[in-house]
Amino acid sequence: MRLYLIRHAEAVPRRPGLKEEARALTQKGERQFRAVGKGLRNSGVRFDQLYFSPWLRAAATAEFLTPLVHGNAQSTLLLAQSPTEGLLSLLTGDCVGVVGHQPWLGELLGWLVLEDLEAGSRFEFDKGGVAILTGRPRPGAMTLCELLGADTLTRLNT
Amino acid sequence: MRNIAGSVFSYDSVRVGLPSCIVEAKTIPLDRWLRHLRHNLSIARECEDPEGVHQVRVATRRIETWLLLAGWHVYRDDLRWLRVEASSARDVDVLLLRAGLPKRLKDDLTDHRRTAYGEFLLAAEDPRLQALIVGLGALPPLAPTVASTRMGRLLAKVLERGKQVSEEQGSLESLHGLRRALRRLRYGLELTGGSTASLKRLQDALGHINDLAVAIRCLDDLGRGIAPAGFRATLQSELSAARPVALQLWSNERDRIRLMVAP
Repeated sequence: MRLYLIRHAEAVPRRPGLKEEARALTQKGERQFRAVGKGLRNSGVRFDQLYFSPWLRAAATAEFLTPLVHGNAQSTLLLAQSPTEGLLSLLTGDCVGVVGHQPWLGELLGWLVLEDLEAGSRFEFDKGGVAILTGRPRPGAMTLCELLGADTLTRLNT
Repeated sequence: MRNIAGSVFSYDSVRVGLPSCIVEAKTIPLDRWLRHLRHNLSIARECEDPEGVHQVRVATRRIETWLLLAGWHVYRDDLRWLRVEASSARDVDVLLLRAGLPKRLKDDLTDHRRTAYGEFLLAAEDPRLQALIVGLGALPPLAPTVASTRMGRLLAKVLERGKQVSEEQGSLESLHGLRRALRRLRYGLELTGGSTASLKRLQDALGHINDLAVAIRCLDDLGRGIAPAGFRATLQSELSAARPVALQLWSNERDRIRLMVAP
């Protein structure tokens, strides 16, 4: 499996009265991730499955990736919490995208590559950034191929 | 660009005028249809009133239309999944709702209903549904100006499907396509405060055809021996009689629907 872990793009800051799950992307976040989506498409990425957290900033990020989805796009609350076996068992297909939040996405990365949830904090996972892994989606069974920032991915669009 | 009724036509050139109350409201929220979904999920979970599962499916389609008008693509697969999970239960209900069913057929269908609702209940407890409801609840409201532009596309789709009905001389498939396009337009008009009375009549006539086609398919899926031979023939003859009625209604309403296009 080729697995793309994608952190949501820049979102509006927390403020009183705004629910955590309703924080939208900023205009900059939208602009940047639109370019990231095009960059991924230009690189030939096609997802069999795309999983995304239903929190608005992740769903809005996933929205830019829907043209790359040839199978299903599915929301899951398992991406709005620390990673679990349940999340790993969802991941099927040859090329899968996952859109979520920090620190949980970093934990997933640490778990899949180093079999260590806490190791996730060692990776610099920018907003709108993408980690590309290959292997079986089991703890310690995947290899990290690339960890790309949104700026790098945006350049693929040119 | 699409060619509709012999003329070159662009979806983006079509706008549907919205009532001033909607334009002044500034936003079209999803809350109402999300509440409709949640309410009917709780009815459907009781497995008694067939309207529950039916309205769950209706709610998914209304929400899908709202997403379409808002330009969202995410959640459409989740909504489709829920609708598919509810479809077997609905198909059996459609047959069971017919008056005068032979007793043996009714008993067999009641057994099948239990199985179909069992499958639906699994979906109703699936975390995917919970995620869908959380996600839909977090979406920002829709701006009427955006809705107006996209309503034009729904209208254009109806006219395109209508042309196919003429070309295919009212084939079941073409009528099915027209019914789906009309349904989206009607739900869009409901969301944006437009009048839907004439669309409803036409949609009901096309829906009757679909119910009969579903009932026949359901009987065939369950095995031909399940019902007396005459029962299937009755359904088939009702279906044959319903087609010209729907075609006549479409012919009557087509021009009125065309006039929905704002200058």
